[in-house]
Amino acid sequence: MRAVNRKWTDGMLTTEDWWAVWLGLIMFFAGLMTIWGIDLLGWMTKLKTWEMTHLLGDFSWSKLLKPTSKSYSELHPLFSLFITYLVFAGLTSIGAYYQRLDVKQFLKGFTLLFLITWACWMIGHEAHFKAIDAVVKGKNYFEIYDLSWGLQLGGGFSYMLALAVGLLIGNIFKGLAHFLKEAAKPEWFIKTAIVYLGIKLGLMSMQATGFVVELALAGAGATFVAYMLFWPIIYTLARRVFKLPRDTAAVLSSGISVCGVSAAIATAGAIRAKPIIPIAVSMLIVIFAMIELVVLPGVYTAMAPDQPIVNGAALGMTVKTDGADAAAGAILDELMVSKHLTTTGQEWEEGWILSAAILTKIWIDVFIGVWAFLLALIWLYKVEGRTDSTTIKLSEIWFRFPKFVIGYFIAWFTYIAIAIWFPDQINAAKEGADIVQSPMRKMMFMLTFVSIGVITDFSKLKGMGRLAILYATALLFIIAPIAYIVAYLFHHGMVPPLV
Amino acid sequence: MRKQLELTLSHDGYSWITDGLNSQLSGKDLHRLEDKIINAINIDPQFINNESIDVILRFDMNNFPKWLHQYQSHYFNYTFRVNKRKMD
Repeated sequence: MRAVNRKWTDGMLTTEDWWAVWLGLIMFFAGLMTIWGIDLLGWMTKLKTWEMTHLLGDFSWSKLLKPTSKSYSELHPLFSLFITYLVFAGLTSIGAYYQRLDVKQFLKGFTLLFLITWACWMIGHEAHFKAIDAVVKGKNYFEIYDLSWGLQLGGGFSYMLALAVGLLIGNIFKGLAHFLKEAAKPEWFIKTAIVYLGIKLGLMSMQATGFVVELALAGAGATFVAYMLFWPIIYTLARRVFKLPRDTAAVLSSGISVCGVSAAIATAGAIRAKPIIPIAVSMLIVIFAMIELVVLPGVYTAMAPDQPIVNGAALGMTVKTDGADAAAGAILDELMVSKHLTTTGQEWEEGWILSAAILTKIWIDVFIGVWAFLLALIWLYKVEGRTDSTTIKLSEIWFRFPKFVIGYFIAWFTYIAIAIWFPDQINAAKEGADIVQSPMRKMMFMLTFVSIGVITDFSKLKGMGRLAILYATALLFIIAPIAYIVAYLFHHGMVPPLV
Repeated sequence: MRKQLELTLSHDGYSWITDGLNSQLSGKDLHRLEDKIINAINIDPQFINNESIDVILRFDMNNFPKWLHQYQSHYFNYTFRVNKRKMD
């Protein structure tokens, strides 16, 4: 069956972008049911911090896992995990069916991905990796387990472990990577997680409206920088110094400057380049995004531990692809919150640094359709000099619009609306919201980490020559420094609220 | 009288291809493909009564590897007009 876009509704059931909206909103509405006292999501499994000798001395699954809500506390922890698997495997398989994926292979792959994800997540909760020597939510697990040493990485260790395992599979165990490929959809998982994050942003907006407004406005500034500053600089560099053909230079400039793979494909489509160009550029972007994801959170944490929001926003402008940006933001959030806690004893509320990274990126994403449309007109009438009756319709903007953003804003604004018009319901709403925006969102992040590693094959860098050198040069000497300066100008001194 | 003709566009690595008319047409670039489409329309009896035809070309995303669909699900569509009187 052909995959062409005709009507504005095309793709609503067949694209992962729309399925991120559906998966996001299903859980969002299910979460809202707590307003009427109905807990539909409390079965979701939550992990507990554990310690090896303590666990092995008297093994019990309840030391590792538990259902999130008290109303489901009678469930055996493994049964809670089984329900979690059934619900997410079921929903994603329905999505896979409509996206015309091989459902049988998807389900097999998803099952294994789910097991790998939860194994990494459980290991990451071992106290020597996770626990911080400070009081967190009234407990100091470092003291509770009488630890003699610890990495004190908070939730960051789980993410890094999941990524390392994914990369190992993608680059060493390629047969296994091939088996998982049908289900390894980092963009789908992360976009779903971002819709869930919209709920958190809604809750955050009630807590610190000014802060969220400032984040949103700064995101608009970042958009200007990406399109009007990065793009012309990289394009000129590609043409003048690296002597790339016009179409390759344009596609690469969008990929490096704007929002990664989606921008590269949108730009290539706008200038009607041969598909091989965006395909090659996309492989490059995915690999470089992975390098950025591994390197930047640690570098920013070490470089500016007192500038959490600057670091988050700088990531949003620097790391391409939504998956890598959100993943890098999640690691940065965990690392910075943990570091601040260990050095000062003050606990920053989690999620704010991640939100800075994502909000900046979403602003950039939203305008890719408009950008591609303008580029198409410039290319058609100026570069190609067409004077005939060739036309490009405004619907092209909609076809390229990132649809998951719709889910994100619905979730965000609904919680703001509840706070404004039904303030007495906010605590009830928060009960359901906390399940979706915390354990569910984090599970989707974990699935993203494993998947993004699985689909990243560094051997594909071979033969990329000039393109790879240009990408590295642009990233290191143009994108990263300018992004950091701009983020600093907008956000310096901003810190998340204390818990 | 104006008519619309919708064609699906693909690329095999070397040429742009469309097969919505009576036979498969291909061109190394889109200009050459458009020329072939215009020629095909001019000799196609189904358009004999039409003065102009709006040809809508829609790219088939199946030409992209599946793993890329998760990043972007649209490549491009565009329309060009064939004025038969001018051609005659």
